[in-house]
Amino acid sequence: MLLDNLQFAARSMLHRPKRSWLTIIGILIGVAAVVSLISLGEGMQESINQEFEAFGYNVVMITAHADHRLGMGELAGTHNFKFDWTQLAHHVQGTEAVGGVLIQTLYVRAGKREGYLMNWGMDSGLMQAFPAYYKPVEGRIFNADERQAAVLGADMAKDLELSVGDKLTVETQEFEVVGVLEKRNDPDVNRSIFIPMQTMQDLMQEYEKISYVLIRTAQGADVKTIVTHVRAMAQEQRGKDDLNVHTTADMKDLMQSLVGILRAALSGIAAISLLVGGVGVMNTMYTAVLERTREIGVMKAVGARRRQVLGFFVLESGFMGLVGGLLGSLTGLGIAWGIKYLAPLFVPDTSIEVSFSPGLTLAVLALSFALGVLAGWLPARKAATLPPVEALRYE
Amino acid sequence: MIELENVHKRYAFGETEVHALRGLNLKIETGEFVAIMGPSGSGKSTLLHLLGCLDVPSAGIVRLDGKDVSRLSEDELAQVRSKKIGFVFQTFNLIPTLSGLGNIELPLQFQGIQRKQRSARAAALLEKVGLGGRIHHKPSQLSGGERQRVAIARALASDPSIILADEPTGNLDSEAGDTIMSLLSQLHREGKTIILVTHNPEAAAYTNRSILIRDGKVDHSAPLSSISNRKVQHVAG
Repeated sequence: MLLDNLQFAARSMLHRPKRSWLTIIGILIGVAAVVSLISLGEGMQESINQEFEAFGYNVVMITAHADHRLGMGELAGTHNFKFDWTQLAHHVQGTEAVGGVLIQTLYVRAGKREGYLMNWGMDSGLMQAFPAYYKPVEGRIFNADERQAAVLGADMAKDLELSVGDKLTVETQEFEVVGVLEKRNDPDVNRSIFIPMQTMQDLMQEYEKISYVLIRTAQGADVKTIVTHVRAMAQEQRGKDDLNVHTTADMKDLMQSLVGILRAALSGIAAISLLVGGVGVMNTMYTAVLERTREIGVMKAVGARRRQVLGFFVLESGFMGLVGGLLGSLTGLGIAWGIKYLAPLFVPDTSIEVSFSPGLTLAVLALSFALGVLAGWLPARKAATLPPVEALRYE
Repeated sequence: MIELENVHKRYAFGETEVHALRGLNLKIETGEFVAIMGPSGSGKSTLLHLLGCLDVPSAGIVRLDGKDVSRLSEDELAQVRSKKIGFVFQTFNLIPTLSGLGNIELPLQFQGIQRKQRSARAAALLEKVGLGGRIHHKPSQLSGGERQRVAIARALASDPSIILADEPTGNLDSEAGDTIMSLLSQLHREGKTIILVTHNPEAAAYTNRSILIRDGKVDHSAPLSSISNRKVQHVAG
């Protein structure tokens, strides 16, 4: 019976192909919008997770309070502040690596290229404490005893056309490139030059202030307790509680909730277009019921019960929803992939991931079928409840 | 057997009420071939709807094979129709998206009969009405007379005892009309009760009895039988 009804629905749709396709396109656009946004959103979430995974969740950061911007590299552009981080390793239990980072835009020359670029002063030990994050694809991280060695972010190396063994000048000092980092999702890391902390301090004549402090906690250590201790120490040193002490887990939660809000808002907009598609189905089905009033009368005359007439029309609109959902899913994924590959051409340094699971595809198909059924329900009910005599008389 | 007892039917058309049937009494025996005639507005279409269990009376009783069908719900009426009554319409009323075979299968589909059985039955009926070679033709690919034959085959699909034909020759030329009337006569000889609603005395002439409806009642004054008998004898001879 279901197969018969499906066949009947397909025939009725094909009988007025233009209108059916226009209706299906309405659903298609809605589903494509939803699917592309979901898959881009999922991809975004996944790449955030990957980034944090590489950095580790057991990391505590100290930054100046003034900074409200987000992202690991973004935090680098903070106000520098006075803090003696060397005490942390001795006084706080459960730390594995502690270090300050000093970030400054400095004048750089490399061959014929020159300009103001971002430089990070960082101890070799600190960089090596995050081997998955500061990961050289070429060469190595500088050693503790090197002073004039530099490591380049992926884009920086490309822009300056430098590779391991080449020389560059930062302000007055010459450095040798010893390594190039793997590309990260954080553009600040990709577009930076990393030099030893000591050298950075000498260059800037700045020995007290830092941009931020990174603390890698030991495996199994209670990160919350460490945060409390660090905060207490900071307060003791500065005489007030004016530094921001947070963990990467906190940041990840914050990022995810922000992405979540963004996704919800975009999905809401996409859902509206899906709703409009549903209204299109309803409109088409009302027209179909009107056009086929006599046909409905005939069906009833030859013995169709209300439920059967309802079934015919509901299935027909559900079928349109399903076809729209299927084509919309494909279109949506196509759009998402298109954005993934085209966006970097227009906005440099963007890296967009696309993710779409089979489960979600099925859910979208079920949803679009349900939408079709729902949109077809009222017109179908109208058809089902038409008195046979009136339906047969209809001209 | 169909019996109507003091049947009234009123319709509301906006503000005005139409009293279409006014205490109509009628009895049609099983196996009869009758014509229902009458001028426009006489109530014969309304009568057809009640005879076909498409509608229920406002007052009075309609009995079908002894069972009162005047208070049944729409779905119960649909059940009665699907088992006992076959319809043939003036405008054929075939579903344009279905082939001849598909149209004949439709009533059987509503009864939940399996596809294989349905197809076999529908094909046999198409053969019976002389369209065995046009099984997969859509209605638009058939002539008027052929369409009406498909419609008759559809009316026969669930082997009903009663065939209701509403002006079946109204949209046909006289040759096609004769073919259709001969087909109905044949069905009558096979034992079906045939009720023909018509304006056309020539079509009515095929039947055994003509019932004249006037002002919502059966008019017993008109001597119609003389016309009809002649044609019947002619056909039988």
